[in-house]
Amino acid sequence: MIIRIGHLYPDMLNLYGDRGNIIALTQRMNARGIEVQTDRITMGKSFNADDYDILFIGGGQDFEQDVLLDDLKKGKDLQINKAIHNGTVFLAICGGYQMLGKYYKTYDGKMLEYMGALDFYTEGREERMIGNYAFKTKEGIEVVGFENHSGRTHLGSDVEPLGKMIKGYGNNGEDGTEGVRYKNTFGTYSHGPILPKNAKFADLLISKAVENKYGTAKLEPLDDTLEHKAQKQIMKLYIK
Amino acid sequence: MKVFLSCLVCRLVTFILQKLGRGATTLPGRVALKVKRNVLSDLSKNVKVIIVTGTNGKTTSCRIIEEGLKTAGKTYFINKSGANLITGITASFIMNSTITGKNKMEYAIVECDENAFREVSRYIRADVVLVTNVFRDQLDRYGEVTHTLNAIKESVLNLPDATVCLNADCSLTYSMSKDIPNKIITYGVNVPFDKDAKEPEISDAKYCIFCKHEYKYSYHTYGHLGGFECSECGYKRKTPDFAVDSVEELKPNHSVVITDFNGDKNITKINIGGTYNIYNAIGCAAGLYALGISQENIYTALQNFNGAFGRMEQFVSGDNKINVILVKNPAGFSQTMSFLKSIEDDFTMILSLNDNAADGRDVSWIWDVDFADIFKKSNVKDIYVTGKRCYDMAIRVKYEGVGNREIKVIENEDYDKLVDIATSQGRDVYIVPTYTSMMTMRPVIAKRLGGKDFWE
Ligand SMILES: [Zn+2]
Repeated sequence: MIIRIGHLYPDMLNLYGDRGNIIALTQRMNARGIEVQTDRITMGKSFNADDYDILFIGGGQDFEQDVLLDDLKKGKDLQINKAIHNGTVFLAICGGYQMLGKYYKTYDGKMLEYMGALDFYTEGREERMIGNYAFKTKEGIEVVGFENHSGRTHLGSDVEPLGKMIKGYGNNGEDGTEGVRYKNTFGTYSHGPILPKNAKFADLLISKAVENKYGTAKLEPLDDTLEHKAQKQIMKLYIK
Repeated sequence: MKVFLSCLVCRLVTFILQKLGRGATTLPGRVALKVKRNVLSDLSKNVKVIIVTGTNGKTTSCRIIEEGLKTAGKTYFINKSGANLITGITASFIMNSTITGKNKMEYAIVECDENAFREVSRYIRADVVLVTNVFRDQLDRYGEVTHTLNAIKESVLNLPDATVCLNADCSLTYSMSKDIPNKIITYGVNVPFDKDAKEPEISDAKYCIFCKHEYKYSYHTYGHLGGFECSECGYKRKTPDFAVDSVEELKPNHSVVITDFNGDKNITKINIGGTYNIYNAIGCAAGLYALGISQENIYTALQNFNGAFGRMEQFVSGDNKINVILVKNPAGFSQTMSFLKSIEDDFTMILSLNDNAADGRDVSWIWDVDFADIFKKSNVKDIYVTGKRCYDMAIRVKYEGVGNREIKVIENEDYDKLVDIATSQGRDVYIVPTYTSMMTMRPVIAKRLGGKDFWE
């Protein structure tokens, strides 16, 4: 078995340890005998979504997102759209998550047109929402992370939230939702390395990707003692 | 009169705290500022002031400058490491002045937090500002990297008479040369430290700060430092006034380089290991020169300098050494790993991660650390993790791949246990903590192994 990962803009959206997610996916697949090949899809490089089983896009600084929006419009947006609607596994984080929506309106009124691949929009406010947080997916998987965003995301009726907040702000600090889920696209504000310490969530993504490609997926369990203890440590310190 | 009162209350509070056996806190400076907000402007009048700011290397740089002034036979004072906000800086000026506010020393070395610089610069008078570099640091507290740069730039604008020493290899730092009216001295490293090194993955400034085009590099030193050039708008590195022209030797405890100070070439030993300390050394050479210290004294200082509190501190346990190296951000942590990689003797590594405000609440940054394949080296014998977020560090190390080693966890920030473990290894130990972890573990280590009292 071989799973191909496309890492979008690893050169620009590499803040907050986003690469931890690629490392976690790769090692958790390798441990089960699945070969992984990762391509860096950088600025100015075109790609075909059909070549990938998993796509990943991280967060970034405001300064660099301007540069990136121009590049997206040169064809990457169409491929991303296709991947999302074909059910390719796609993990999008923070700034990368926001870009899948319709637009971002900054708190001082500036409009940024985004890809519009999914039915949601984001509006910025001056006050940032920062802190350790936790949410639960519809499968009952508890995910802990760290959010740090000024954008408030509001989901439309065509998409589901990725999870319900256990503690923290999530999409907008108001409606108790976190992230977006549509087919196999997962958008979240948990910036940086969400997958390493949320092993069950990482395996959910892996099993969807293997299922897409090979029909069924049965993942052998791994020794996740440290991962569970990390989750527990955060739960104890900040959540419950 | 108010200067007098302000100094008096500051001394009183310090005295009382000392009697109570409490270390320096922000309280003395705070009360002094309550009495007279701009007390610093009076106190910095009759003393030559150098301010050291930037993301990495502030404390080490201050120590090198201290060595330079000592070599030149000057009197000076320096604010304590960690007391680098306006409260701590004010208190250190007061403690080194007469009660009427006249400074007793010829020079003041001021380590200044880059985000506290804005406020400090409103009151202080300075002769020299040394900016070490701008890297991503404690994002959740300060926002993004350009905010840090702007904070420094705006502060420098409050000090138009100061000579500013800028790192020419840092595209972020050097960019401020276009916007400030000050006299500028540049410093940098003209060559890569490791010719075979692959291009660094981490980059805090990949795109031109002026026009957002991707920089081309003729070489990299570390992080985003190196020979950058923007082909679009022409912004590029300029050969610095104070340069390291070639690197002859990189050892754990020292480096040998050829320096070029305004055309004067010299083979120079820098008596502290780590490539990042080559930057600190050359930056300080520029700073000392701006302060009027002779080149001869500068060379001597670089050769004699040893260590800096907290950044790399050594304790002795029997035949073995327990070393503590503070890390604050991905660049510093990566440099520490590449430094440890240069060690040939067996050792035990202890990594400690906290997430208090001064460490950065968000621990995601550890995933940006480049471990430089250190765990492939067989002389790294044991790996322990500790700190408030020990399990986050455990996972980070696990996914880095540690071979057959077991990742051992010291839970509950139990630093007594840490010392038990460190002293029973029968080999050297390198402890790599984040800031507040270092602050808590250090007294415990010092109590058991000796070492001067932290507060002195
Ligand atoms: Zn440019």
